[in-house]
Amino acid sequence: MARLGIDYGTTNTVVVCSDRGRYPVVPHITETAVGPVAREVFPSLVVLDRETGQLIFGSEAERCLTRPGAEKRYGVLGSLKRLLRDYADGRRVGQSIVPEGLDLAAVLREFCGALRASIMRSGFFAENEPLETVITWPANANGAQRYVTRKSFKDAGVEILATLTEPAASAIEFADRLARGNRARARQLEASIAVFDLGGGTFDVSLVRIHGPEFTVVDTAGIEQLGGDDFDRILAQRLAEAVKIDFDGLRPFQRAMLLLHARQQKESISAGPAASLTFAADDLGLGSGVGTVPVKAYFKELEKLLEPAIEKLWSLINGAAARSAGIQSQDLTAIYLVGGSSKLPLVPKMLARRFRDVRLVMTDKPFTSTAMGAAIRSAEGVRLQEILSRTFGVLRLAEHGTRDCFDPIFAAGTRLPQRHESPLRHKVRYSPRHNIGHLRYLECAGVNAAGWPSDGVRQWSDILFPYDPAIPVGSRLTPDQIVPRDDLADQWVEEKYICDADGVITVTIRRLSDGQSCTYEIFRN
Amino acid sequence: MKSAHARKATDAPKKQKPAQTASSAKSTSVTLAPAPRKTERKQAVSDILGEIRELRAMVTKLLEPPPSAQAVLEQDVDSLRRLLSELLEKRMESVLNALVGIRMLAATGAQTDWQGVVRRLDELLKELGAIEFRAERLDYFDPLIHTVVGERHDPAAPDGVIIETIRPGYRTARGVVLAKAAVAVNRRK
Repeated sequence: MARLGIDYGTTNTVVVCSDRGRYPVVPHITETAVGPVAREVFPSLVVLDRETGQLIFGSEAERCLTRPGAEKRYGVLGSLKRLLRDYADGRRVGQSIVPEGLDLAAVLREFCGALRASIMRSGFFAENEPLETVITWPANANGAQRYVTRKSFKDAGVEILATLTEPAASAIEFADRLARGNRARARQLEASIAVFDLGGGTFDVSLVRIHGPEFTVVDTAGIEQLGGDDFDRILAQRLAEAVKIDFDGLRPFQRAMLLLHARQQKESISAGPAASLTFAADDLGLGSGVGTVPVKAYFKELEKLLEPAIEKLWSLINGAAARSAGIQSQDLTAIYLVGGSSKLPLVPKMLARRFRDVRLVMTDKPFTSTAMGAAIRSAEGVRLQEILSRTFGVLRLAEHGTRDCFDPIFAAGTRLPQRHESPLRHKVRYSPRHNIGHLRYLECAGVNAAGWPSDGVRQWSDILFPYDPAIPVGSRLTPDQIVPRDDLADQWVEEKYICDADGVITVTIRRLSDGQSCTYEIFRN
Repeated sequence: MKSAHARKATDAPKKQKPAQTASSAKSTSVTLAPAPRKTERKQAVSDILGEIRELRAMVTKLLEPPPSAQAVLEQDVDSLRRLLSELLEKRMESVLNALVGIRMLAATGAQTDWQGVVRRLDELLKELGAIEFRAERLDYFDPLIHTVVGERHDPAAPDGVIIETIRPGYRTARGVVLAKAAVAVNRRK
């Protein structure tokens, strides 16, 4: 039985295994002209081979893009993880590469299958050895993203021991680093850290209290659309301007290649000092010009993007949750910088400017820190207390249907149960006033003073449930069938909500008069 | 958010008012504060049950028959081999960096026996287990093992293929690429 930590990232996926107190990165092997080549990362890139109709993943996907005639034959589906935020059952993506599009859940399932096959090829595990994994997702991931990620891994034959948020995993890795792998020292560890996780597609920040082997997420926040992908896009646009090319006018394949080039250029800044970034249009067959973009000008643009992230961290450290947990900025052990994009020199510079009295710790493993934390969680007696990062609720009609009101079912900051604990439950009973109930579920990052969803609102399933016993449960219903029915006032309906350890919610609606009920997976949408 | 059909529906929990919606969540057992005693007891029981489960898992593990000595030995050898490879890779990388630096100095034509130093570093790399590799002429460019540093114009060769290896690449026996081979690719005008 192998125990693994998997960090499914926007740009790269990293797998770390637990080997009796050591946590080696699982290599991904690719056959090349000079023999097998091993890499620590499995690129999260997805490419469609139009000739065979097959999807290609990982390093193989990267390689086929440089082959002659690649543009005609291959289509690039970039940043699959970012698309998961808008997951709904049967949602199709990639219409720019194939007109009918691809089923999002099926693509992710195939990706997970390819990742599993690559893990098995590493030579670390015996053939058919069961894999027990701990997978991670962004702290700010919405319910649908959690739902489809978990389902896809399971469907691909990967057993999930636990899930955890990316910053929480990094906090576990940080504690291991502080204790230098010494268990006795780890048991006595006391620290409070803020994890600043700037990845390829998402930005998350979490305040974590470490008390020996117990980790408590005090508060968490994030920005859904901030990460290396956005930095690459800005650079690609500037490079295109420098050689007088209209970036938005490029064909999808050319755009994807220019974005890959921009990423390489951006990573060169992280590797060492650079004054300017260059682009020879001829390299991608886009003309003959050579353009340069000064790093200073590029950073100035990035600063504007990063300011809200720094502000989120500031609010978190000085927020109500931190205060009630007795954490002040001067008490913080460190701000721990993880994620590939935090390697950009601009990021620690901006943080140091804003947080003068807090120690900044840069990880030496920006790509593997999260997976390593997940692997430690899979093997050691780590106890992690996570919270719901978003409020989940339902829009109802109040005051005899004259206005909407938001009924929060599970509020942000609610403690999530452990796997061995019973799930969170919430029960509501009422007598209906209509023949059909129309329940509109949504998630949000914040609720304003008036009790209305205010930030990052995402609407999920609209459920139509027949309150009238004359209508069988499971009938196809439409909102225009709803009519007032005062005679149903003596009937009772019960809604039972269950939120599991991963923050995935299901609701069972029951007519108490005849006991008929239906269970809905909210985030399946 | 509002819609015409939604306005018709009035089904909501009894006594539900907008101001009460937030408190309705508080009255359930799902929120942290203010926690009624019953919830605390429930939590304590749940924690104890969790501890018992962990203890049971530990005891079950202890009662399991120990793996055979041969299996443990094989696993240890495997782990050690991996550890050794990682250490060697780190050494190789520093030697390789020195080699690249000296090659650059040698190219400046300074009056020193750079060739001798290069030869010795090459031998050291070989001893550590680094495997030198070159690209074959007319090979397809492979981003995993090649990096483009120049262009050539050969009308007889297809576009994009490798024409020349300018600097060899190095990899370890485990397959980790320490340095990609620097190549010149064909650009047909």
